[in-house]
Amino acid sequence: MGLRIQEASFDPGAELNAFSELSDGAGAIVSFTGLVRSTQGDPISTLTLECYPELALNQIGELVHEAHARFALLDEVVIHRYGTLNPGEPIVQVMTLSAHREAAFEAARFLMDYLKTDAPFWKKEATAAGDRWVEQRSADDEAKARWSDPA
Amino acid sequence: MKILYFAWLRTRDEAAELAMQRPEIIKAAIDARIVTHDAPIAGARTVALFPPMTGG
Repeated sequence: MGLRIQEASFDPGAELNAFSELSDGAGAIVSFTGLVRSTQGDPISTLTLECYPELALNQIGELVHEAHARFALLDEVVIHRYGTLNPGEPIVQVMTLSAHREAAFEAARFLMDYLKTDAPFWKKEATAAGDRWVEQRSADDEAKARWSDPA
Repeated sequence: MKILYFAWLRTRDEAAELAMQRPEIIKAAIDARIVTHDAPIAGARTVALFPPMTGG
């Protein structure tokens, strides 16, 4: 189980290679990378993530433990940056390791759906017209809600 | 006891008052653990108030 919350940039490819070395009984690895997005129609110059580090370690730590148990994972890593990032840079990487593919895919999705709503970071985009705080999307709340659906 | 405000809440003069009025929007944490707005603060080292999170 790995959790890193850091200002420094990271190389998702190198992280995946390092993660892939631990593999007793493993048949599946899934890796997801979230990037800073900027579109031509609405370009941003930078994305700044404010963070409450102590809460992030507690919240994401609990989340990772829950994923490990719920999906019977062999291993998992979450890396999340804060600070000022440029378009195209990685913000977050989630990697899961399991015996079969269903658990690896599901757990990676579960972790990302919860990271979008329950991880104490706040994003602010810098644009030509000024800075603006990013707002939560209802799609993210709906995605998270699916994991508690008793049906 | 330290009180921490995050994101746009930090820029509002009446942040604490706003936070208490909108528990469905503003969340609270005591000693780096999320709590409901009726949690007791006696003995708390830090109280944090923050708007909806946009991590990930």
